[in-house]
Amino acid sequence: MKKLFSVLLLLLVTITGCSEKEKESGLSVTVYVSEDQVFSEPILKDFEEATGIAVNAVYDTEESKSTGVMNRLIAEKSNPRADVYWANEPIRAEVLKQKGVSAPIHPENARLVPDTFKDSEGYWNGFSARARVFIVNDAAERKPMRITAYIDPANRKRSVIANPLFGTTTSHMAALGVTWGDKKVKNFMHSLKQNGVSLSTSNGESADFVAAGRYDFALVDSDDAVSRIRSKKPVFMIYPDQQDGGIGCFIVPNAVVLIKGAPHPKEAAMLIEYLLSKETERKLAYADCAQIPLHQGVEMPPELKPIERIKVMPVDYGDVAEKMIELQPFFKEWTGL
Amino acid sequence: MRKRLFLMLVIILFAVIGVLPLLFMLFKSVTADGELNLSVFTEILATKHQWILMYHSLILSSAVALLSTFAGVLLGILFGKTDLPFRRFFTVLFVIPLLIPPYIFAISWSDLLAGLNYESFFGLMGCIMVLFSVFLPVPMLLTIFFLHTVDPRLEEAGLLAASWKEVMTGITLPLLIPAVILSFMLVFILSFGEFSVANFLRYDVYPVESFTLFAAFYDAGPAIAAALPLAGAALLFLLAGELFLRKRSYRPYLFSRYKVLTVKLGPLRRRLAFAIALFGFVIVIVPMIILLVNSGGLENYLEAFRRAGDSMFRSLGFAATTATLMTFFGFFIGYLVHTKALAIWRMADAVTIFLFALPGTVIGIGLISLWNTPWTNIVYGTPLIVIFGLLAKYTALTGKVSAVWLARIPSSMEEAAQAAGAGWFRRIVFIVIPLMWRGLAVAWIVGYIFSLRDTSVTMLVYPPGQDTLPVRIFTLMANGSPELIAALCVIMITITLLPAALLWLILKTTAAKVSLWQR
Amino acid sequence: MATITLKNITKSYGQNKVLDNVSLTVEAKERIVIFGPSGCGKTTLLRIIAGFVAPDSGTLFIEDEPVADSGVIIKTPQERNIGMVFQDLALWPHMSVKENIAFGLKAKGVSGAEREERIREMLELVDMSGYEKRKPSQLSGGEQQRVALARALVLEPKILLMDEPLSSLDAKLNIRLRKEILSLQQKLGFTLVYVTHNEDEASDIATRLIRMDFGNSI
Repeated sequence: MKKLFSVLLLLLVTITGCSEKEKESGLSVTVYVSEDQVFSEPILKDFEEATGIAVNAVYDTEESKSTGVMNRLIAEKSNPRADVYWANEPIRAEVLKQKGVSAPIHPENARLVPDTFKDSEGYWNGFSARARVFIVNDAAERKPMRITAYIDPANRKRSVIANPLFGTTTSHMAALGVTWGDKKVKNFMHSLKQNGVSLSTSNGESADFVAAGRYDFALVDSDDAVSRIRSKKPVFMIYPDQQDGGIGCFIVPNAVVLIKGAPHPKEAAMLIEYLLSKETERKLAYADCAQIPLHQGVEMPPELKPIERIKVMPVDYGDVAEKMIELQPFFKEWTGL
Repeated sequence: MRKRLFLMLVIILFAVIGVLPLLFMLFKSVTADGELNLSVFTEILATKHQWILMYHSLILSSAVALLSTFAGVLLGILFGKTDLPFRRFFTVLFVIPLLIPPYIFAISWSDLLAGLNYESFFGLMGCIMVLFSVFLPVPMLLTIFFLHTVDPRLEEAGLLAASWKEVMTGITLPLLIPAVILSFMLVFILSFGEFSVANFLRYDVYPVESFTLFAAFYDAGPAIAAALPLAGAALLFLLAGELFLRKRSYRPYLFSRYKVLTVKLGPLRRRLAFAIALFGFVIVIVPMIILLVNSGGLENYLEAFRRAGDSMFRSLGFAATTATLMTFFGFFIGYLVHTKALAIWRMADAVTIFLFALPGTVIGIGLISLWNTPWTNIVYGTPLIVIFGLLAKYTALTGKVSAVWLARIPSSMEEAAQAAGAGWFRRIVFIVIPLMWRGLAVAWIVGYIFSLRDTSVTMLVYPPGQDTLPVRIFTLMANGSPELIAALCVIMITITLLPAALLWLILKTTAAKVSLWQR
Repeated sequence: MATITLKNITKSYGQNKVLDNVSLTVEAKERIVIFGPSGCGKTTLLRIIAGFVAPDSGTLFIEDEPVADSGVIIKTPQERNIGMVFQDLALWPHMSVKENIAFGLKAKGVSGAEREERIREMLELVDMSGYEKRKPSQLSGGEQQRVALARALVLEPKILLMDEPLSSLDAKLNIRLRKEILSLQQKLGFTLVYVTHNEDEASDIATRLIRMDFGNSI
């Protein structure tokens, strides 16, 4: 029996011994990430190389809507583990601010980012963005120029949209709610149904459907469109509502958040500066996620349009977050749940 | 006295690992802002949406449980009681899906069907299909096991007057009813708590919601409140099953292990084997071929190792450690349940099963709320938290395996040692454990596999930078290249099946010398 | 001096009263046979004496010392120094003949050399010398029987309990082993409590025969 106990004890010691990694520098930073791991991990590896600070990460995936990272951040509020949260859209960052999970910071590298893309009090700072764009099949007879193309009877049964219960489509509808008001966005969504717009499970799937010619166009994230263009599918991309008086294109930046009570505040600040740097924006522009840099003058692939040449939908992301929670029951009702 | 003390200690330790977090979480959610507050619960229960989700969950689990119990019992009888060619091979083949994280099958199927432009795989039908193939082995194995509890003399008595057909329907099948009920219950619970497949295939079920409620409302209270009906449903279901099975008093059956009378299939034999081979090919081999094909060449595997090699080794380490501890806890809890040495044995049994039926996400949230304090870094900041979670969730399995095995050892074995003057520890170490080491090995394999394939608990609590392979596959799935994901899935399947197969071989080659009591 | 004294022992399993107010005194070196139909409580009585079961009420004395009293086991089986041969013999299948016999000696802390000596003597006594390394599964029914006896007797118990030990043997072997048991008892002088439902066996072995009938001894 005694032997058994000592074996168990040894086991426990070994397990607890292998705790978080620290590089030779002895420094480390803990980051929770909602940006897809495929894209975020290389950036964090580069940060490790450049600074010698070890990065301990918890990844999450928006696509599978598991949102485990948000769960953890809120559950850990009383004793934070994370230093930094890398969100792939600002809505969650706004919620963290409201929940008192985050702390303000005013990084040097955020100074030149347009004010729309950061919290005025510094609770989150935006970088590398996706735009909500139309992916259009080359064979389509009509080009959708406005988001209202969806409810144009001429396009009846020719379009598809991702389920507004998930992901960026939810934020987009909420942003329309902020811009147009509740009544108009609800009418718009009812009209979607009447005009025979199909529902897909994700933006990626919408993009594939359009690439395959099953539909003329779909509202997707710019990275979904760019990846189909890069793989030589017969599609092109339109930024909607760019005309005079148009509501503009909805932009979804990444957002980086400093966690209140972060165990490693110094390293956290360094990581935040690194993520907000032009270099990171350049990498994310050339990566498969093809994100649009928010700094001016960052080198980028030809498929992307510089942010200053896009007419941006002027919304406050805090308002969008509130509207999203408000409209949640309506979305569920709309999808027939 | 030492026996009771030691068992008590084990139970207390397990309660701290498994039950305390839940109680703590419950306490926290009702005492929001320092006051007792039950409004979160009433609000949640008043939402129509919740009931729709519950309905979805019930539909999905019932459908899966019905289908797989029906097909599984049928397969179990064919493999365990007839002269069907290749029946052993078939048994192993059909078990494979149970050993692998279920979402891997979802990925594989949707890859195939997406290629065929077939949409309706997403949603209820897809979930039923994937979970059916995953849980089919449960009733199959239980049936094979229970066939050994049918006294062949009962069948022989029937065969004197009737054909096998009547004997099967009139005698054998009724004797298998406990297996059927147990299978249905188990599959129901397993599919009720399973969220990765429903999540991937976008079918809104209750566990997914209790997981995402946190996100939708960003509030622990409602999330916990939403989890509560789930706990309630699990509990009710367990109670119902327990009552029913107790009335049927199936327990004594477990003590016996008879030789099974074989039914000759005659001219049907080959055609049946062909049909089953085809069925197995479609639900087991095809998904694996898809993954193999999609994973492409060596470079994808190299990339997979580069991106997830560390997660893989961690997974192996976590699973092996957890399986060892789980075997320890399972053995002593099984021993307690078998010998009823403490008055709380029934409670201990019920608690492990309840934890097993509870969705892993709920356990995960409980663990965070209890262990995330500055003083308990040694638990929360280390893999210990993952191990705790897995222990809480899956010890029921090793406990049941142990209890069943213990039931096969006559009590006189231990009593003889007691009469010879041996204390309890000596009896455990030199008599009981050697007599059931195969049972412990089986328990270990079961613990290993379930720890290895888990995502529901692990995803929520793994320490930063220390994810496991199934979690990493899950997070890389978003926009990761399909080739990479397929390669990772193949690696995952390999590291699950290899050690399991190895241990199985060892068990086989050291085949049981006919034990005295199995005459 | 009475070796075993049962005083108003009662035991129920659920609704079923197995022993109802049973009293019995067994003197040293007696050979008591408890005889009766299946399910009448013989085995329960034996298990109470051995210490595996506590009586619901009543007191059990061994050598005038109370060892169990109204639901409480005062002395555990391993403290009572009672030998027992089980109905299924309960030979440990994972141990050799020698290991089976050595087990109790080790538990009692008997040192190596003395242990070897006692095992040798015991095997000689039951005529099983040369079988040390065999596993129980490699023995015939009669041989298993002798090993079980040797295992029970090697600790030199004052009392030996036997629970239908010969029931699985054929008639010829049964008669032969009865004789061996009798001669062992005379040689070693232990008190024997023997349970059987075989009338022939009972009358052969007993110095005193106790008939039991569903809960009551007569």
